[in-house]
Amino acid sequence: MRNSSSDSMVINTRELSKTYNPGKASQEVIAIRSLNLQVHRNSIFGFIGPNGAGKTTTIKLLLGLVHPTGGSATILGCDSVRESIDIRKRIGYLPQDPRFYEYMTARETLRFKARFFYVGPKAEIENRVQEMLEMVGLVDKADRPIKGFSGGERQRLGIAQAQINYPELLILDEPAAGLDPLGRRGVLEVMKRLRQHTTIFYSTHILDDVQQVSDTVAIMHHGELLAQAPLNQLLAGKKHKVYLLTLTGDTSAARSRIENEKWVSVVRSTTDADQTRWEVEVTNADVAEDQLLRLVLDDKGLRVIEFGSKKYKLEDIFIDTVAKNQNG
Amino acid sequence: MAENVQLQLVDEHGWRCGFANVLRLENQRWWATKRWWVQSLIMTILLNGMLAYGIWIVPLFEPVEPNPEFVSGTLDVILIWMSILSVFSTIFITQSAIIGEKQSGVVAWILSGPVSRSAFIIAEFIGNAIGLLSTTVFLQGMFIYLQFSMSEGYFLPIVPILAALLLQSLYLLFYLSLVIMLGTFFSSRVPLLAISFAILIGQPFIDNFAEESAPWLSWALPAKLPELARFAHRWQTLPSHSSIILALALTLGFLVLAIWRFKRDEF
Repeated sequence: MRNSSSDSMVINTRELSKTYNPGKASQEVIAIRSLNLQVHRNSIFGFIGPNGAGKTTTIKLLLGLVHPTGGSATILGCDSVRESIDIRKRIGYLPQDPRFYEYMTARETLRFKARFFYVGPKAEIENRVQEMLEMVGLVDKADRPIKGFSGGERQRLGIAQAQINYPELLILDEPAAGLDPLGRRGVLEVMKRLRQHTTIFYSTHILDDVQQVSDTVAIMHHGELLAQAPLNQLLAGKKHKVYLLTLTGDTSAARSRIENEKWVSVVRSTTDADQTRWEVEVTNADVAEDQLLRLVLDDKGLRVIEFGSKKYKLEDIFIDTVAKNQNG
Repeated sequence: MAENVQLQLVDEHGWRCGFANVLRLENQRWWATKRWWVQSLIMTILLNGMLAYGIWIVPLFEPVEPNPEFVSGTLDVILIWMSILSVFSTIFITQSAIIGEKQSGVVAWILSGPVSRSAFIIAEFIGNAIGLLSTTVFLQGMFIYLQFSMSEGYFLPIVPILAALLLQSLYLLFYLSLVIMLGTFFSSRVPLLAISFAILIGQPFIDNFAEESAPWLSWALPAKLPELARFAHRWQTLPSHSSIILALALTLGFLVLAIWRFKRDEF
């Protein structure tokens, strides 16, 4: 199945748009606006955004379950509209709320899905089904009807059926939503195990999960792509690097010394009990790393309790990005 | 998770993608569950039970005069009764074939795999057609044939009876395609049932009005198929072929319409 093309781009959308009820003024809903998304091979791509941002619609557009009203998309080099079935032969998909035939067992469900890809031999299909059950830890429940499954078990079955054909691209829509912490951890573990075999494109609004497993991130809001970058680049994000210092003693002299340096753009200070906390924003990180701490320690009356560069959380970046977009 | 080279890939292309698997699923729903024998049992009790009562029970209590028209006269009634029961079964059993799958969300899951929408509709049609025709027409036809043959003491000519059953089958397929087509247009069973029953009940009314003024219209109605079956089992020339042609055309038309609509649906 993995006769991959030389093209390193797995998903590439160009001005992809979706409007529901176009032309009906009162009912028109713009779900996706001119989306330009690039997903590279072998990445774990976190597609994040609040509910209603257009994540699921984008995924359904890529799968051909929803028809675009503008633009185009190629998945694995195939056009998402004209070659939709060819695409679906090479990908796996976990819906946001996976629905299966309730009367079927997990094994029957996987067998049914496998037969869309393979005709035989029967024993090999059964082996593949068993392998998937083991991968998601459902062996002990394999022969029970799905109607008795918990949300987490359905989700794991969803991942198993999505992976049954060893897809080149795995699309997961909110794979950990609605799960308890243990269920979430289980799903993330499975994703980590799969990363060496396939490209994973997954949507979520749980930002901690993204920070744990993703290497690339796109932020959606109100149908628009606000940012798209490798996670590390996004977390470094800010134009100017910020250093955090926690100090005790009289900081006034040291502060004036630092503020006079050319490479310092701003020093923000807060005091809590006998400790002073500085956020020093710099224009040149190399110089700052060489000189900042030395300049502070020149003042013998000062003690440095903590020193380090500020680590941004994805949540900060996300809120910042969305807020900037809202403020125009 | 090494690539398993021993697995053979499905070789289906274009509209056929996913057809075999969806048809297999539909057949399993009929033949690997209790559906087939429940449906067969109900039909057998209602249809052959009534026939058995007339052939075997009534003569035990009151003497029956020998009547050369007994077989064909009884068969007339039984075939009309069969057409009513088989159409009711078709509408009730297949009302959820598309709508149920849309409502449960399963159709979105299936179509996210390598399945063409045409294949899905055609497999639903063929799978249900095999199940319904087997249990409501041909199995019952076989029991009817055996009962008459046992009662008469010889095997009746089989070809005329088969011809009558084929006309019954076409009548069933007309309603099956109608229900599947309506399932692609609506997301609720209410309009589907309302339109199906309106067509079922409305045709005799049109027939009544048109019989005198426009007999060509009367004979073109699919509802005339059970009446044509009466001519067929007597091995008489059919008075018209219009209803056969129209029912065939409408069945195909409904399927084309169903595929057209289903392809435009979003899940």
